Amino acid sequence: MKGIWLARLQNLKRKPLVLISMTVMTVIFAYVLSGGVGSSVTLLVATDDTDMSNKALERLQHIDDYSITVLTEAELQEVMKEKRDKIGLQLYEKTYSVLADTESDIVRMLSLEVVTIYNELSFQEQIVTNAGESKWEEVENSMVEEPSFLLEKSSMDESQVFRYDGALQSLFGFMLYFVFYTISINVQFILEDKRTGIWNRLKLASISRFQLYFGHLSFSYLIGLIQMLLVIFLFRFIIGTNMYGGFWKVVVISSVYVLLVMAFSLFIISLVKTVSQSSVIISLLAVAFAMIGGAYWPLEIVQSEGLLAMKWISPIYYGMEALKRVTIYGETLGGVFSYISMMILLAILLIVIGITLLEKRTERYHSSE
Amino acid sequence: MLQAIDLHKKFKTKEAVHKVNMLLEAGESVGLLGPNGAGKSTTISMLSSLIMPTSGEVLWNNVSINKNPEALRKTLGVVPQEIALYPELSAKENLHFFGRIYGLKGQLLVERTEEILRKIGLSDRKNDIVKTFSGGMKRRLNIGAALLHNPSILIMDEPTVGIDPQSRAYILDTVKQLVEEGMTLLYTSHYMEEVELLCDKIYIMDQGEIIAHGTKETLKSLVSDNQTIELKAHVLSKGFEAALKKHFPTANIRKEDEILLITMPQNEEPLATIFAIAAENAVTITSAIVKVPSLEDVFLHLTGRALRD
Repeated sequence: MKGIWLARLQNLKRKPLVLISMTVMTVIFAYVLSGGVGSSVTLLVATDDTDMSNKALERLQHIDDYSITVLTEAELQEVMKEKRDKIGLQLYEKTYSVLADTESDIVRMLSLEVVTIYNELSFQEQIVTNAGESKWEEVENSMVEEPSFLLEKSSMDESQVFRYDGALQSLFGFMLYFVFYTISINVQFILEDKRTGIWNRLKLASISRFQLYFGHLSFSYLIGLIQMLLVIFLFRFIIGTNMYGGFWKVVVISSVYVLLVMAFSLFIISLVKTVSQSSVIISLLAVAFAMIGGAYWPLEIVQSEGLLAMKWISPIYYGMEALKRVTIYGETLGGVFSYISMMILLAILLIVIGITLLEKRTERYHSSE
Repeated sequence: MLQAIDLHKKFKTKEAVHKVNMLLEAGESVGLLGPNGAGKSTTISMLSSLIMPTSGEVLWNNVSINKNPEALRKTLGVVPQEIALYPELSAKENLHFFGRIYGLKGQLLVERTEEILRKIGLSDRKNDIVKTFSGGMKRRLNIGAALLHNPSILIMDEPTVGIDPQSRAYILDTVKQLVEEGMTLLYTSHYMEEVELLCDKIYIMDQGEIIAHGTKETLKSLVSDNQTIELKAHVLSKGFEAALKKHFPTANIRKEDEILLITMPQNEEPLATIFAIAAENAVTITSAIVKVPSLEDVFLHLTGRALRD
């Protein structure tokens, strides 16, 4: 197996273009289509310079989800006339107004958060006015130590809730899509080695079939995983994409997804005769799977019943859903167990079918002299 | 000693090999001759333990390789018909790779690689990428990769397909040298002149069966009663061909690339008659060569078809 890895590494050294280009394409597409920023919302805020509005602004600045630019009232009005895609927020003494073109999920969330801030600040002000600063500190401590409500979180059924994060949608979508090509091109080496007779040469050198498959597949798996990790690390730590605290869960799901794509590529090469046939089929399927699996757009906005029914055949669907759930929806790995186990089961099934068919094909190579 | 006993191989409904019996003694050079699709590669795959026969068995030193292929594989070199090399690696890297696969390492690997590169005449191109090589150079390296672990038996499957005459001559010289050094050789080809040059014993295969075997002399004696006359003329009319067939009813008359080939018993002296028939049919013969039997003729005699049909 070491020998196969060595040959594949030397080959990669000579032809690193696939790995590099697919990684770069993922980064470019995800970066450009997500607007070139992380997932925090850019907010333009102006205050009327009262104590309450300034305190509200200070609270907002502590929320990671928003990237805040402070302007004067006049500047805000001017900017909002020109840049209608931005979200503006005008904070007054007793009230506020959100300036946005559409009533989006983000706008609703922002309004809710501003109302909460104002309520808390009013409550604080009333206590401080009536009982002094020390009383407020007492109340604040008791609120932390003995909360009025015990909150238990549980996720709703996926059909009932829709949360969207453009940055993560682009990142996950293109990451899952482009890695399809990297892995399949690597798995195709099995077909190429069989066609050129290298496979037989290795068998004659007493390398077992298990070692041959394991050597090739493990290398393909690793290359796919490296590409995914490069992209994930780059977006999390360089670009600063918010992964909602689910970074390691994203890594775990990605590693399972790579296994599924590797198995799927093996299955495809077991059905064809040549590398070019396999390339064509994989290119077509990767695009189709990306569309029906929700890589290009969230499946929640898809109306077609037929298209939605087909999502189950797309490996991208399982990866995409699991990744979105552990980030945007804040699910644990246990919460996406069904997606992870489905990916593992499908991978095992496809590997078994793929190897069986490939072995039968090996016999056919000998019969077609 | 490598022996095939009653080998059969069936792929679904197609019987590729039927009741093949072969014997390779140590130091012998054996040819397996037959047209494309005759079952040569399938036979080789079974002999080299790559595929299992449907029935029958292969013995290596009287032990079945069906149960224990390792003993044979250690000492067997196979040169496949395909160029089984990594095109993105250099000649040296390819040889190092296959050497390592066979367990060679360190100084031994370096020395064997250099020795093989010298033997196949690629020392000066060892660091060049294989995909930049000519067809002949790739074929030479393909042979080299099978020799790295110093095998005692070498199976070569059509090693000169699709290369230029110089490379072909180089390869044949290399193989001849290996045979002279004592290598046991099984050489398959549909080029009968290569088999004739390299091999002491020949098996002729057609449609999955061994149809004849023996030394060159034994095989040629199968058609030794016959002679072949090659005729060239300005225009070979159908009337001339028909007249020849009428006059020599037992002769096999066929046309290949504007040359008329007439195979008939050697005791006949037909040239005078042929020229007379030519004159009657207004055909001007430009050359006439009388040939003794070749392996091509043996094949024709046995199957009624030319080897390269």
